[in-house]
Amino acid sequence: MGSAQPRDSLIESVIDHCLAFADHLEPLYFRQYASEFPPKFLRQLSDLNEAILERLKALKADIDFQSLKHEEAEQHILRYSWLYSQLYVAASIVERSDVPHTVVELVQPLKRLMQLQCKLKEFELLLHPLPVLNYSFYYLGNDLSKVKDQLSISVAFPKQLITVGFPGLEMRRLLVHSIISHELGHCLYVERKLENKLLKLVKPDKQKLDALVKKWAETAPAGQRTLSEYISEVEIRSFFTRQINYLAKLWVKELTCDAIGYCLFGPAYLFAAIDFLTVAYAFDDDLHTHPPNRMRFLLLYKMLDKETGFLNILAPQVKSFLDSWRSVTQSRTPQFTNPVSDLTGSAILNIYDHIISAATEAVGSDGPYSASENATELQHLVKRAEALIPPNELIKNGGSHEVKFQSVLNAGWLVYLTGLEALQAKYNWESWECKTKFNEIIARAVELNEIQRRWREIQ
Amino acid sequence: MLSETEFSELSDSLSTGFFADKVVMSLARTQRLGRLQDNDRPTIKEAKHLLEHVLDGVEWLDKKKLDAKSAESAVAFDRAVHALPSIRVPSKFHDYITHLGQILQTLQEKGNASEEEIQEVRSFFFSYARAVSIESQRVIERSSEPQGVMIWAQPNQETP
Repeated sequence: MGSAQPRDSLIESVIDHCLAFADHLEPLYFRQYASEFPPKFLRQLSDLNEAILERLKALKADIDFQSLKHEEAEQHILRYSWLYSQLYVAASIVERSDVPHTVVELVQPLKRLMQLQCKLKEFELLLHPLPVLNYSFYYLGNDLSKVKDQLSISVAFPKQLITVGFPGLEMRRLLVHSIISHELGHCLYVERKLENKLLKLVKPDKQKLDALVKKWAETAPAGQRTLSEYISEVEIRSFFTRQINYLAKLWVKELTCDAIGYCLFGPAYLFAAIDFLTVAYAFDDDLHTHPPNRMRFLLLYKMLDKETGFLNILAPQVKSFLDSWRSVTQSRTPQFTNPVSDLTGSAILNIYDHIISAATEAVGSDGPYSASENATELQHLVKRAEALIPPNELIKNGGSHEVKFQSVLNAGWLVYLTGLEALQAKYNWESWECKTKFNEIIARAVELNEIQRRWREIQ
Repeated sequence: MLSETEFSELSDSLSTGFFADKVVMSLARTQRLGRLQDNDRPTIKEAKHLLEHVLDGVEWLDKKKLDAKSAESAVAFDRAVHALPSIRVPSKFHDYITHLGQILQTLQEKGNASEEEIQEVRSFFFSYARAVSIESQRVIERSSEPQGVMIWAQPNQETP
């Protein structure tokens, strides 16, 4: 290092982060990706890195920076170092979104859906595996832009760049990846500014809230201690203000993303949500950044139950499956274990119609995917899937017609939920083997469906 | 891996932190040169705006109206509480933030304020930046597992 001043030494250490980051990006250009976007994004990351490097070098000679107290200068330099933690996450996502590690069949159809149907022309997606049993979403373009704008760096990240993580060990369970429609919902939620529309409709019970704050801050009877002896009244006010605002903001967003997920994919989203969420979280868990499952399924069943045309074509096993979870969901109204969740959750339950209406508008002028309107198509596709023929097209008048991408997933679920027993018996497969092979058929159907659509567009 | 909430919280704390650093730097420059520089005016205007957000947060429990702005104000209030741990009474807290806002107003209008006043605002924004730094560090420390190492996924060999 050899620098005379400690702050110069701090700068040198962060410059080493920059240089190491540049080295890390270099080989990533040579990987194969599911779209043309990742190499472009790598270049943007590289440009940002260069700009930060220049900024750090300039700080050494900056008279104002040198005039700061040590702790002020230290804090500023540390922030650059922490920024590299975020940039490392971004680079590691690109690293894991290459062809061998992503669900490559889904990338183009999802981009098409968001760019053409939802009219997000700059939409880009990095789909990557996670080392945990969960799905994740980062609004990467938006989040990186927020930081680089504050630094007045002129690299232009696409604002509609999102990343979606899926459980890496379950990469080939394509049907469950219908959950991704919820993650796409996050992007639409921000782009359509739904927070501005919806949050103001949430009205927590003012009297209950007053009583709660008073109870925490009030003087205790002689000999007893109150919370306010340990925490100041300012902190108590701040706690309730932040908690209620935080919970309302997150829960309204998550529920709206569920509704958008349903609008984008139809019942396939509900099927995936039942499959995945019911074993991820306890049904009434209200201690999480997401609302309890009971609240989520109340909303989704409200949407499903409008699809009478679809409900009428269901096989008895599928109907029974849906009825059983409807019964669990509606067995009682949501109850909350802590007063802040209670105040917020109860208020949000009153705005479900607004959430559904906002989600319906958010998916674009073509409107939501309707399983009822596509019921006949679905019945044909189910027959193909039951015969292990990829359900990507309809044969009409001697010609092939591609179906909606969402119909492939919905038809897949309708067969999957019958238990696949007929297929197991016919081919003498074990249950898991049969599920795996069936998911492969649906993956091929999604791929063929995309090839057909592209071919038609070229024609 | 960071959760989506944590990732966006990190962006928010980093960008707010860089902003608070910028305010400290602008005030240091004003002290050094004896006058607010034109280049620093937008920063000082934004700093005043942030203090207004804090005040909205202080008053939120009196109105209890949720909206996109109230969520931002709640966060600003919470950070300011961490920046001023010695003020325990809401009315005094409100008065002090108002006082800091008035100093910034004077700076904007007259291009200067007393050395002591500027130092007061500079100390507040340094502490505010520190409160935000703690948020950034908390997020980073939670994400301890290795990233970029592909040990959990089976490569998809079948797809070209």
